[in-house]
Amino acid sequence: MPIIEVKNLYKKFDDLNVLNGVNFSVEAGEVVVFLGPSGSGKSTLLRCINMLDTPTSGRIIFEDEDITAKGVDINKVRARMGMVFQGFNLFPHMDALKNVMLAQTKVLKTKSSEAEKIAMDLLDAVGLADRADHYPHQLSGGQQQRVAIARAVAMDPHVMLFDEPTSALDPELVRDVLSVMKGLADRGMTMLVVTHELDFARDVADRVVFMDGGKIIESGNPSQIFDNPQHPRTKNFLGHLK
Amino acid sequence: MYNFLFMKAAKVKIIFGILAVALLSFIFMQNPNQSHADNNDSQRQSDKLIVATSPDYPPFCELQGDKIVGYEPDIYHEIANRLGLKLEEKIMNFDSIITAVASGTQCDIGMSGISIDPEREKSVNFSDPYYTADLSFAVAERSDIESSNAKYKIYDSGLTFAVQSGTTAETFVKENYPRARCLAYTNANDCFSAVLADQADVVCSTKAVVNDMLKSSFSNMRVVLNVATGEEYGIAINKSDTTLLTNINRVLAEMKTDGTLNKIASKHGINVSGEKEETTSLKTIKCTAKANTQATSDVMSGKPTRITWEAQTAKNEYLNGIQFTLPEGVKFGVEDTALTMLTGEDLLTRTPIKIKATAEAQTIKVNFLDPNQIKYGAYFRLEIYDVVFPENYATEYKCAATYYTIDDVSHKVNDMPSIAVINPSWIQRFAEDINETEFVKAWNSNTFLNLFLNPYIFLLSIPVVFTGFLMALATVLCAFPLAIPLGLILALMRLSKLRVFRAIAATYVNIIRGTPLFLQIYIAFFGLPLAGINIPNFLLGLIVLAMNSSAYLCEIFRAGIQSIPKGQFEAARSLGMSAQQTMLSVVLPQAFRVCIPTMTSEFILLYKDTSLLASVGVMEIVMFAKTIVASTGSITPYIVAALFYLVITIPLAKIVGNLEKKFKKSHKPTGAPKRIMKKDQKPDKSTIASHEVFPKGGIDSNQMGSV
Repeated sequence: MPIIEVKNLYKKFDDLNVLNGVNFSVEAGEVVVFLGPSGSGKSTLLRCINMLDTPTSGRIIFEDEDITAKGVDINKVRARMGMVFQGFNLFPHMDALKNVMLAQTKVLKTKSSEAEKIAMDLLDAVGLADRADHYPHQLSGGQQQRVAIARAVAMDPHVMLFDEPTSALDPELVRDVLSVMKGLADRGMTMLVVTHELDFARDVADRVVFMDGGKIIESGNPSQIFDNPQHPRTKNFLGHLK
Repeated sequence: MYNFLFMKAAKVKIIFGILAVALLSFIFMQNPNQSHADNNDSQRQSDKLIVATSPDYPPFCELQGDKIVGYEPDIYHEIANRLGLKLEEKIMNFDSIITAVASGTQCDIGMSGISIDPEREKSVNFSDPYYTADLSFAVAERSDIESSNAKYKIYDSGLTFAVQSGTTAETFVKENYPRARCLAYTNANDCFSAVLADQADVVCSTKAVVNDMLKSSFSNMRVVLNVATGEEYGIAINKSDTTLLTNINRVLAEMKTDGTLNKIASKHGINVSGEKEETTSLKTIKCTAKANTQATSDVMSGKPTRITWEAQTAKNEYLNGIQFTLPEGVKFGVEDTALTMLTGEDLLTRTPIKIKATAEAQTIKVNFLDPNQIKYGAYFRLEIYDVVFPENYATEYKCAATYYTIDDVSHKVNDMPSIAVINPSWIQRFAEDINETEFVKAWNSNTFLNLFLNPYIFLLSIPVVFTGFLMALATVLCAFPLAIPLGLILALMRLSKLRVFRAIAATYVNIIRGTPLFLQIYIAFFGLPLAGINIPNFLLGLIVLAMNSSAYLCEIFRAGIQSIPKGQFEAARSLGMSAQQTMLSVVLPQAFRVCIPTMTSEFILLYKDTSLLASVGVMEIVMFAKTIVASTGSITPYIVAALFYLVITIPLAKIVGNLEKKFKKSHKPTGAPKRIMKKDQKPDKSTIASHEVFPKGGIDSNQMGSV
C-alpha cells in the first residue's frame, strides 16, 4: 500500500501547462529523488502534493485519503507532510528555537515546555543546539536550512518534501544540509527530494525519477538511471552534467 | 494567490464588536447627560441652556484665558440665572451658529452679535433686540482715505473690504457696494489684520467692535465713516422652542426695566443706542482699569495701570467738581489726572478740561479751573494714571465717586462697577521683569523681532498655549490607538478573497483619502447634529481624526502585509497552520515591524491635523494661540504654537529615522540570498554525518569552478 499515490496530475498556470499527466506512487520509507531540467515541473509537482499549488486536475491520495477532494481539512494533511524550501523561509522575527516550536504549539497544541524540549532535541540533532537563541539573520544559509528541516521534522511528519534544499547555499555549506537529510533517510523517513545533487541521489535515493516537460520520462533505481539511462533526454541531461 | 490573507468573517465580527463596545462605553463615560438631545421638544425638560457663541469680537464677547467674557456673556448668564437654567457655552465659528441653532441639537440659543434679518428669521426665531448697532468703517493710519472723503471713496468701486463672514457688515457691503471686492474672514480680528497687511483697504464691522479693536490691538488704524444701519442684535432661538422665546423676551424686558441691561452695557463700555433715557442724576458709563498684561487682557496687581471713569451728567445737573476715591491700599499718581469732555455724533471729539487735581488719602479732588464746561447732559471721562493695585491680593475693587453740582450739593455716585484684578503668576512676573531690561527693549525695537518673537508675549503665551497642547496630545493619543485596529481591519478587508469586503474597504479608503480632512470635520460637526446624532465636541473630533487616519493606516498595513515574502505564508501553511494562525503569528508581527516607521510618520501627521479642530471649537493649540494673537496683535503666540508642535514632531521624526536604520540592519529577508562565493569563508564545522559520503563535485561546485 503506497503512502502517496499521484494519479493523472495536471497543473496549468494561465496558458502554461506545467504538469501534463503525472502518475507515480511512493511507498512508506522510500527516498525518491526528482531530477530534470529547469521548468520540467519537479517543484510544481512537489508543491501540488501538499496543495500549496492546487492541481488543475488529477488526484493525490495520501495515506488513503484523496486530498484533492472538497471538504478535506488541508491543514491536518499538511501537518503530516513536512516541507523544506529552497529559500529556507524561516520566520525572521523568531529565534531558531521559536521557529521550531511555533507550529507544534499552534497546530499540534503541544504544551510549550514539551515543544521546547522537542525543539532543543532536534536542533541538537542538526548540530545547532548552541544556536537556539539566534535569529535567522544571525545564521548562515546552511544553518538556516538545517533549522528549517528541524522545524518541519518537529511536526513528526510521515513524509518530507524537499524543494531544492541546497540550491541557494554556498557550496561549502551544502554538505551539512545533505548530511542532515541523509540522517533522516537513514532513520527511515519517506522523502521526496527535488535536487541537482547527483551524488546525494546516487547514494541516498531508493529511486530516481527523471522529469521533463511536465511528465515523468524515466524512473528506476539510481544505478539504472545514472549508469544506463534509457531515454535520450535522460542521457542528454546527465551528459551535460558530467 | 493570496487566499491565505482572508481572515474569517467571524474574527472580524469579534474585533468589530469589541471596538463598538469600547467606543460606546467611552461615549457614555464622556457624556452622561447627553440624553436630552434625543428630541427637541423635551429640551426644556432638562435644566440646561446651551449657548453658542463666537468669542472673538470684544467688547461683546471674547475669550480671556479659557473664559468667555463680555457684554453678551453677562446677558446670557443673567438670563439663565433668572430662568433657573444651568448654562453651558459652546464655542463655534460665527457662520455656523445659525445652522447650529436651527438644528436644535448642538445648542439651544445663539448669542453672538447676530443681527436680526428676515433671511435668518426663516431658520430661527429671534428675541427682542438687546442692542442696536451701527457699522463703522476703519482704515490703516497710512491710508489716503480721510473722514472728509470717506463717503466718496468708499462708494468708489475699487476698494477691497474686510468683513467677518456671515455678519451684517458683509451683507451691507455686498448690497450697497456691488462693485467692491469683499473678503470674508472667520474672525473679527483677522479682518483688522488684513487691512494692516494690505490685503484689504477698509474693514467694516459693528461700531462697538471697531472702537474696541482700535482701542486695544489696532491703535494704528482709524475710523473714517459711521453708517446708521439700524442693525439690531437679537438672540437666535430654535424655531420649535417657542416657550424659550417667550421666556427670554420676558427676561430681557425685565432686564431693560430694572436697568440691568444698561448696567451690563456700561460695564463693557458699550453705548446702548436706542436706550437713551432722561436721567435725573449722573450716570456712570464705565469704570475700568486698562489691561496691563499683553497676552491676556487682564488687569494685574503690582503693575501700573490707568483707571478710566466715563459718565454722563443728567439733564438738570451742572458739574462743579468731582471727588474720586480709590479703595484702600491702591497707589496712584495725581499729577497726570486728566478730564476730557466727549462730544460729537460718536463721542469722538475730545475737549480737554483744565483741572486742578489734589490727593487726600485715597481720594482725588478734581476742581475745575474754568467753570461752565461740564454742562447739562455732558459726557466726560476721567483718567487716573499710575494706579497700582496691591500685590498678593487678587479681587474686585470698587471705586467711589462724589460730584458737586453748581449749587454745591454733593451727590454720591451709586452705580460704580467694580474692577477685577488678578495676581501675576511667576511666569508673568518673570516676563514683566525681563521686559524692563535694556536688552529686551532693544530687541523689541526691531519690528520683525517684536512682531514674531516678542519675549514678553512669548513667555505669557507658553502657559496658555500649553493647555491647548495637552488637549491636542490627548486628542491624538486617543484617536491614534483607535485608528490602528480600524486600519488593520480595513487592510485585511482590502486583501480579502471576498469581493464585497474589498469593495467596501476600497470605497472607504478612497473617499477618506480623496477629500480634505477639513471638509470631513465640517461634515461631521455640522451634518451629524442635523441628522440628530449629537456627540460631544472632543469625542467627535477624535472619532473623525481616527476615521481619517484609519484610511491611511489601512494602506500602510496593506503595503506592510504585501511586503512579507510569499515564502512566509507558504512555510507557515506547509506546517499545517491555518490562514488565521499564519496571519496572526507569522505575517502581522513582521508586517507591523515593517510599518512602524510609516506609522510614526502617520502619527506625526495626525498630531498636526488636530489643529484643524480649532475651526469647530475644540480648544487646542492653534485656538489658544489665536486668542492671544487677537488680543496682542503680535504673531509671537503662533511661534509658541509652532514650538509646541515641534516638541513632539522633531523627536518623533528622529525616532523614525533611527527605526528605519535599525530595521534595515536587523531585518534582512530570510529568502534565498544570491549565491556569492566569499573569499575567506571557512567551512562550517558542525557536521553531524560523515561528509565523505558526499564527495566534492556536485553540480554547484562544477559550475562555480573550484572549491
